[in-house]
Amino acid sequence: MSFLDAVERTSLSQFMQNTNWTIPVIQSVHIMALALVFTSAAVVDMRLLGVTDRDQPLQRMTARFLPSVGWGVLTLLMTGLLLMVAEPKRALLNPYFQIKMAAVVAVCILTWMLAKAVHRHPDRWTRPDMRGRAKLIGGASLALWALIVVAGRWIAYGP
Amino acid sequence: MTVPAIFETLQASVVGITITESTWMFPTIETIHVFALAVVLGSIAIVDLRLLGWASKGRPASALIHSMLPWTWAAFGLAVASGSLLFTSRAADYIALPAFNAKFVFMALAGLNMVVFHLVTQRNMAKWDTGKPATGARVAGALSLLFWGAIIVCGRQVGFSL
Repeated sequence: MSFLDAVERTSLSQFMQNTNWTIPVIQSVHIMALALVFTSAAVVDMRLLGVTDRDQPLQRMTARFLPSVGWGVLTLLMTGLLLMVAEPKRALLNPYFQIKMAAVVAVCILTWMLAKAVHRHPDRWTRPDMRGRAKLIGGASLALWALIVVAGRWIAYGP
Repeated sequence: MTVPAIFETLQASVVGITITESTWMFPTIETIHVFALAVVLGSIAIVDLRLLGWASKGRPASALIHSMLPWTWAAFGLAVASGSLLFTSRAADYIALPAFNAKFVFMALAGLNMVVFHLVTQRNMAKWDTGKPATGARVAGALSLLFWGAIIVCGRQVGFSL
């Protein structure tokens, strides 16, 4: 607990707590990055599920949208870290935050593995015998991102 | 600021009171609103970046717009529906907030920008569909990103104010 108290007393944390605009501005950037990440990931997931953009090769979709996911996640981590420094107890002791972070780790590993797999075997994923596995990956990714958004919003209502 | 009676009435309606008195309804509707705005902003940004000539350059602008627009509109409908419910719960308080009013000014500007793009700029899209976007398209893309960014900032400020 003393570590969180120490974080709360840092000048950066104090500055964010004592100005009424810093937290909403950082949250706004966090939401914009979230929109970029969620939509970019969803576009790839929908392609894997075979719902949209079936005329587009999967590799083209991942090449276009997965870098956006990567840069967006980096922005989310940086803005998220600032929000944690501002209000460490609001986040770290919150069960919704813990669920969210577990899902973030899982989806990052899944996405990284997908990027590598598509890079190595670009045409494999659209083969009929791979359709089931592609749908499973797309569905799992979409479900994890949805969980992240839900848990993220509910941090504000945590115990 | 005096608030018109209609917003007091709205807030005191069955819908308004049900949402206010429930512990889970407001956060749940808010979560739906976040999903909706994420897809609205994300899908619009994907098109805007194409109009600016910064991304998706290998795909014709018309094809990308055709692929994204149904999602944008579906999510926008969901954002309006969920947003209206959130508004109803504390209508008189929200309407008095400068950030809330500013959000709708930016939304009107974003709408106007879209109408001008569809009616004027998109007419000669065949000329730049696969190549370098026309100046009008670049301006539309930049303005759209600017207005939607402002909508997010205002919207977050609204959530922070009450």
